[in-house]
This record gives sequence, structure tokens and C-alpha cells, in this order.
Amino acid sequence: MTRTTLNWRHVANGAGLVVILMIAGVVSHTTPSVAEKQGPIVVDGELGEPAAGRNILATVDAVRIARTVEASNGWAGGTSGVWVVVDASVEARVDDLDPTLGHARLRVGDTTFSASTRPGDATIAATGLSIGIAWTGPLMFELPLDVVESAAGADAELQLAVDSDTRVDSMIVIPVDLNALEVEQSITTERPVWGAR
Amino acid sequence: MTSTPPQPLRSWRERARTLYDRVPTKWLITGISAALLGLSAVLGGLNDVPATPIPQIEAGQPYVGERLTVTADRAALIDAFPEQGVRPADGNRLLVVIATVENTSNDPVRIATLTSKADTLLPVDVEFAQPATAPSAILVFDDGSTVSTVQPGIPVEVAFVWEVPADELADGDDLRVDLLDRTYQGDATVYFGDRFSDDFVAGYLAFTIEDLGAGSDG
Repeated sequence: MTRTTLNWRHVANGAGLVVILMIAGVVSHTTPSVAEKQGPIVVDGELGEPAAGRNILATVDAVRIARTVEASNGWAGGTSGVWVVVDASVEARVDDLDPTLGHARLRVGDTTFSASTRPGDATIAATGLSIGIAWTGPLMFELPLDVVESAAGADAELQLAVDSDTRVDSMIVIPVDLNALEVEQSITTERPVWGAR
Repeated sequence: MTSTPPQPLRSWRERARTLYDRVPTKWLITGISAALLGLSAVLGGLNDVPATPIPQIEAGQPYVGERLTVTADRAALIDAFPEQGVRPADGNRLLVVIATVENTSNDPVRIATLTSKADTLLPVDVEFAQPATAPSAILVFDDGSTVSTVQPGIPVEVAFVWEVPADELADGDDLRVDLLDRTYQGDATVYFGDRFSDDFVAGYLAFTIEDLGAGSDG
């Protein structure tokens, strides 16, 4: 009867294989996803405070909610939901050849709403931006009332970015508590102004 | 002269095996394929495939699509929407299909993605006076504003507007309107974000055109 001797080379090979598999596991679990590689670079902002990204400087002064809105150009559109009116001031910082406020969205939970273009030139949605000369005016979001009043409404976030393609560029994100806001009957908005802070 | 040795007597099994060995492989493959095709033909492989009929959607009945629920209500002819700045060229009128569109997804959805091609509603067998099949305007019924994006959970009544020659359609004419939908193609790799394409006709609506004249009553 032959006695099996422990072959230390085999043990070392096995241990080496386990180590390689563990490293491979760590690599595959920590590889950035497409969203992480190409996603927007979030700049955390606060209500009332200026927030600066690469080519965007924005200040959100107020957020209000109303059932109807009367815009400065006479537009008064109805909605089956409510209007979330955001008063903001936005300008470019490094390049004003082609930037627009192409991304103005309100995210509540999993649902995202874009700034309405229905009021036409009474809002600053999709307005062209200039360096150092801010556009100040309202953005209007059309939301169902139950979304505003939902639990996720307390952790809503307002996203502002230059251009509709937000990949690998700054996106200013401002937390908004929609639950804390009173739903007013009607709001009259100011005319967007260029060059006033 | 050598005489041929007499063939040894063989059983039928051996003969069959010899015969099988002499058949070229190509013939075997062809033969088997032909047999299978013949079998499928016998079982109905050559019958005409019944075309799936495009379902008719009643006016006012909602069609629940991939991202949009569309309820088309009526079709009308109108001279112009002067207050909205939508005026046809001389000799033309506007064909209007009124529908309620609700976005059931979690993101804003554009309803006029292409300027060249219709992607929600398309009148069939109509000679347009405009170059493209896409509506020349999509107006919100409530305020007459132009709409391009439908927000989640907010149903909106819109007028899809096409420009047609004045003599193309008349009051009381039948009009067929195809309702188009698209399928989710997955997360795009070159382009970014979710991709929806492959338009298909989800159903059709049969309308009788009303002539609203100058349309001052809306």
C-alpha cells in the first residue's frame, strides 16, 4: 500500500487559481457601467444658492405649485394635473457658441418630467445661454397631483444641464420637497429677463 | 480468357448494405431533404399563410401602446387655425384628427420624433399637399399651443393637422387612419438612451369626415 503524499505544488496551483478567480470577481464587480462611464457629472445644488458646473451656472430661487398658471405672454394652459413653477436664473460659463438649457427636468421617484414648452417664450426652457448674462425666468412642469403628493415627492430633484445630451457634462441637481409646498389656485409668472440677476 | 468467378450467394441484408455503400453521400442528403420537404408539403407546408388582419379600433376606444395610450375621436376638415398661426397655402385645407394621448411610461415622450414620417397617426389613401406624411402641426386642444412632448400621467387632447388640397376630401367622406406604434429595441449602444423603433400599424380607425368650414366655433 502506497501512502499518498501531499503534493505542495498542487496545493499552490489550487490556491493560485482561487486567488485569480477572486481578483477576476473583484474586477468584474467594480467595472464601471455604461451609466457610470458616460453619465452626467452631478453637481449638488441647493435652493437659493448658485450652483456651478462646467458650462452652467444656475440659481433656483423658488419652487411653487399651482392648478393654473397665467404666463407673461398671456398663455394660460389647462392641465389635468398641476403646474410646478420653478423660478431660476441660468447662464453659461465657458462657451456660449451653442449651449441651450436643453435639459430641465424634475424627477419624482422613478418618473421624470421635462419642462413644458407649451407656454412658448414665457419660460426659459431650451433658451440659448450666454456667458455672464443670465436668463432669469420661470420653468413650468406639468405633473399629476398624486405624483406631487406621493411619498417620493418629498425627495424630488430638479436637474439642469446644458444641451439635451447630458452625458459626461455637469448636471446641476437641486433637491426639492414637493410635499411641503402648498398647491396654490393660480400663479402669474414674470416675463423671462436677459441680463438681470 | 479468364472466366468470371461466380458471384457468391448473398443475403438481402448484405445486398442492401452494398447498395447503400455505393450511393453517393450527396444523393443521400438531397434525398433526405426532399423527403422532409415533401412531408412538410403534405402536412400543409405549401398552404397560404393567413395574413393577420389589422384590427379596427373604434373611435373613442383607447389603444394601449408601448408607451402611449391613444384615443382617437374624430376627423374633420377645417380652413385654418389662424390664432395658432397654422394656415394652409392657397387652395389647401387642413385635415384634423383629434385624439387624446396619454404617456404611460416614466419619461417624457416626444410624439413628433421625425419631421418626415408620421409616428402616431397616419391618414391612409390621402394625397397630402405637404411633402411629408408627418403632421404639419400637433396642437394642444386646450390652448392651441404646439406640443412635441407628452408628460407621464398627463393625458392631453391634441389635434394632429395635415395639409390637403381643398378638393381631396369632403364632408361625409370615409377616412381610414392608421394608428402606429413602435417596439422597444433596448438600450442603444451608439446612440444613447432607450431606443424605440420598428413602426408597425397597430390598428386602424374608420372616420366620417366632418366639415367644420372656417372653424370659428373651434
